[in-house]
Amino acid sequence: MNRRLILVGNGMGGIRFLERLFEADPTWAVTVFGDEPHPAYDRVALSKVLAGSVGAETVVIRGHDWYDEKGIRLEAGCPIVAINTEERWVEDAFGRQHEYDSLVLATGSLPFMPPIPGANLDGVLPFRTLDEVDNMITRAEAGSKAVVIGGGLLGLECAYGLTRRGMDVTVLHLTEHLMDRQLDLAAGTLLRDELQRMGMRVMLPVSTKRFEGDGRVERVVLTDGEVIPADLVVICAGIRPNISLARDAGLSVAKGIVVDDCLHTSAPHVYALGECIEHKGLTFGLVEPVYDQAALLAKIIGHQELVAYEPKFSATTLKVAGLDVFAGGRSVPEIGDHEVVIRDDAGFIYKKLVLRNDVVVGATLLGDVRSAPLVGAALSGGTIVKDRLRLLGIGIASESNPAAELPDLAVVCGCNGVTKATIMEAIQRPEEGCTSRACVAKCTRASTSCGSCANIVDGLLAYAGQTASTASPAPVVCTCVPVAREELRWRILGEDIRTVSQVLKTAGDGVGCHRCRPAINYYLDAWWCGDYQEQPASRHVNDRVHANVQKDGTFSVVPRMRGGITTPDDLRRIADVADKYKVGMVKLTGGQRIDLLGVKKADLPLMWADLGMISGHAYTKAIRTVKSCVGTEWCRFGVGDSTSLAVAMEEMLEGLYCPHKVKLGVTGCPRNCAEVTIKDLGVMAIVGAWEIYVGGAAGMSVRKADLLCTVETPTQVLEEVAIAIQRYREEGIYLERMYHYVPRVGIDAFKASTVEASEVVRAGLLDRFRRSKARVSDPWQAVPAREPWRFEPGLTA
Amino acid sequence: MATLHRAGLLSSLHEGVGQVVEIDGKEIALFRTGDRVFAIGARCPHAGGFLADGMVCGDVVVCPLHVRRVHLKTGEVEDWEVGVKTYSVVVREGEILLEL
Ligand code: SRM
Ligand SMILES: Cc1cc2nc3c(=O)[nH]c(=O)nc-3n(C[C@H](O)[C@H](O)[C@H](O)COP(=O)(O)OP(=O)(O)OC[C@H]3O[C@@H](n4cnc5c(N)ncnc54)[C@H](O)[C@@H]3O)c2cc1C
Ligand code: SF4
Ligand code: FES
Repeated sequence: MNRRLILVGNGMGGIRFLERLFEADPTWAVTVFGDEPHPAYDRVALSKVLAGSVGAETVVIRGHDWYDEKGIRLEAGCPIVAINTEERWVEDAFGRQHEYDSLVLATGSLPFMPPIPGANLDGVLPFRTLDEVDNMITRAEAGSKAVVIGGGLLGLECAYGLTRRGMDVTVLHLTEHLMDRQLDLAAGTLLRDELQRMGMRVMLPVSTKRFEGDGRVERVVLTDGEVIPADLVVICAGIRPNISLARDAGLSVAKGIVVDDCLHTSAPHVYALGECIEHKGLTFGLVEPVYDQAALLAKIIGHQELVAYEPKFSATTLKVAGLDVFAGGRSVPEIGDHEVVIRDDAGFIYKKLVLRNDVVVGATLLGDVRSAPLVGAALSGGTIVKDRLRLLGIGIASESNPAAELPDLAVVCGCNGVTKATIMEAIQRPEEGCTSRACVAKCTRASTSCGSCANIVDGLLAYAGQTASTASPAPVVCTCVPVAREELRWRILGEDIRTVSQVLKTAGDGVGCHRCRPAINYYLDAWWCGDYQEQPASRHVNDRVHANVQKDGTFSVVPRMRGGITTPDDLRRIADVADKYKVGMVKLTGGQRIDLLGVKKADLPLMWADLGMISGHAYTKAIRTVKSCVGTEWCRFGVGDSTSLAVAMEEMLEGLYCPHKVKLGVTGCPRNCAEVTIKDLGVMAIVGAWEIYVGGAAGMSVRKADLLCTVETPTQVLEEVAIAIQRYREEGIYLERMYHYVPRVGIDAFKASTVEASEVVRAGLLDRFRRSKARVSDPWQAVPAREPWRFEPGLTA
Repeated sequence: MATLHRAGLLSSLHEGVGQVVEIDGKEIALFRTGDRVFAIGARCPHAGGFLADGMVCGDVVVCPLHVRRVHLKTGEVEDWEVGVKTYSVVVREGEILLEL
């Protein structure tokens, strides 16, 4: 029997989940319960329905025929009223019980209705559902009066819609400026002027005392006594996750239904997604994260995949014709941040970036939103931005087409998660490629929801029409792979490329060279968090056999010796192995460990097995050593336990490949016996705290490291080190040591993109670090077991 | 007259990863790209690097010691006056045969 899945809530998240689930595994027996009497529709498009720019019939996402075709039972207009998680059934409003194997809650949110007397009068409505929009349209008579409570995104779209229907609209807003959660005072004020110019009246700051009328609303009374006549009042005062069903069933709830990284609730077999959930203290109010969750949950339930939800930055756009607004991240700077502002009041243009050093932590675009996708990418990546004016579209010739500059994987349509690459594919399809926006919309869904990306879609259509290709200004990966590194990243991740030869085939000359192939191999490893396919043919011999080739063709073996600390047992084993395999020399390295030189290739696996120690990665671009001093454990001056921390740090990092070798150190006091200020990354104990340094060198050149941060505990040190190393792993150019990378981007920018980055960015880095680490295995055990031929001296005849 | 010598099975020669065989006291490096097999002298004329350990890029192998480029078809070594010897290869029923 097919497994039974029940979905409660047939909204935007619910339907996207079903679409993805049926792509993954169509064998589920699914029943959907929806409180609303319609098949799933596009809630985002309701603003446009209200404004009359599209008809109500266009908002349907999937009609009844789709449910029938997939064998999904749709119970529309049939809310679920109870859940029994022990016996695994739900009860609907008609008292029927339905059993499930898995249950998904996607109950969305409810409009927040402030406790204002008179809110139950006829003609006082929220703005959430198709039926409510229908109701508004019926009541909207030209010349009649509407009051919208709340000057946020929803309130303004509502006010605009009602104005378009000929109503005389007043917006009442509680604080000093409109959209105060997304905009600063200047932008909010500019927006207000523009709305008033379009015929809306905006009053602020005001608060509502009560609604009055005889059965039906007639006026709004403000706390200062002013009376505003009203035939219709729409309340747009925010939303609250719809959790009552879950709470009554005993599920853990806070602001929303609490879910873990796998979107699992506190009850077995019960998952939740969308605006009803709370993940790590965060709730959601935009469709993009809801769609991400839907796709993820389909993987988890459909493919049994172990994937974790990782929230991304979401930006807000306002869907009012002729009034483009894009906002994301911080709207006002904190101390130490700085702003880049471009403002033209008369022309209704306001563009602003908030930067923490060189990292974008907030952005606002008013009037001209052409650079929104680029700005959005900078915000969500937490990457370092040097050319800020260009990011705001300054210095790009006005006739040039910003859509052309977008990386392939840039998300053009946030609502539907459609990338530039997908749109270009539709346009450039050999047969009947799209030539109009409407066709692109039909084929890719881009621009079908909020529509704010329509101008970019137009730009892409125009771009595809141009014949001349423009040279990329960023340095390319290699002459064999003539694309910029950033673009390569988008392509690798966007086109699901996992091998060097695939990269060479799709983005290069098909062959590559000894310089770019190991580089690409590294990028695949770093960007896929280790989940790629290694091809030994694209690796140097050192990396193929996990030892360092010597001038006579023999190899050297350097076992890991964390923190330079060893034991008599290990030393005895090393001595025995050195005897048994007659190594040419036993030497103490400059990295506080032991090198066994002059080993034959075929002997390597045998020797490793006898040693029983793990690889020290002395032969490759990876984490090398964490040098330590004796610290508080022994030293009379020590103020920090440098040996324990060095060992813990090496354990945490070992096995990870990097753009180049990374040498680290931990020292117990500022006497600095472990020389940490000339390490790629060094940690120094001071009284009561630890200092972390980056970018030091003492090889071909000498450079004193920069102070990254000072933290109090070893646990904090480990977290900052993981974040800093992961940032370098992702952004460093192959063969760029940390002592080149840090000065290239600048220490302030490096700080901003690591220690001072937002929680979301840091959590992302940590998560990718952990995922990469989870894929690490000791090559000295794994490789000989998997591919013994790598060590065979010759062919068997 | 040249004779054919058995040098091993094609299936144990991996794409792009060289191997050394010894025939008649001669060390020979074998490389496979697709179904083609190349055979050249095993040592780099520059300073004796094991060419079988080099990276194969197209029809060139890059010496693992000082990255000189050695052409598999001609034995020519870029930036070096002397090249390496090349040998004709026949693959018959999955077996690699060298002519020398
Ligand atoms: C074994 C060791 C020398 C020793 O006997 O002490 C060593 C040996 C080599 N070093 Fe080193 N370095 C060794 C410590 C150092 C140090 C000191 C340290 O690590 O504390 C430095 C200066 C710090 C630094 O890394 O900058 C050092 C700076 C270099 C450099 C110059 C790097 C730079 O950017 O300045 C190279 C060349 C390169 O990386 O391109 C290099 C390259 C090499 C190579 C890998 C050259 C090669 O490709 O064959 C040598 C490998 C020999 C072998 O087969 O093992 N080695 N090398 C040391 C191994 C340390 C370890 O345990 O992992
Ligand atoms: C007018 C408007 C404009 C918007 N514009 C934008 C925009 O431009 N960009 C953007 O990103 N987002 C926008 N949003 C927000 C976006 O619509 C939501 O983020 C999205 O719909 C959330 O999806 P969801 O599945 O979590 O909830 P919903 O789409 O609300 O779906 C939840 C469904 O569950 C049903 N349900 C609840 N309880 C039960 C029950 N017990 N039994 C059965 N069914 C139940 C509800 O009736 C509802 O149909 C807008 C929202 C509105 C109202
Ligand atoms: S420098 Fe400090 S920690 Fe290191 S050995 Fe000397 S006193 Fe101890
Ligand atoms: S030994 Fe081959 S290049 Fe030096």
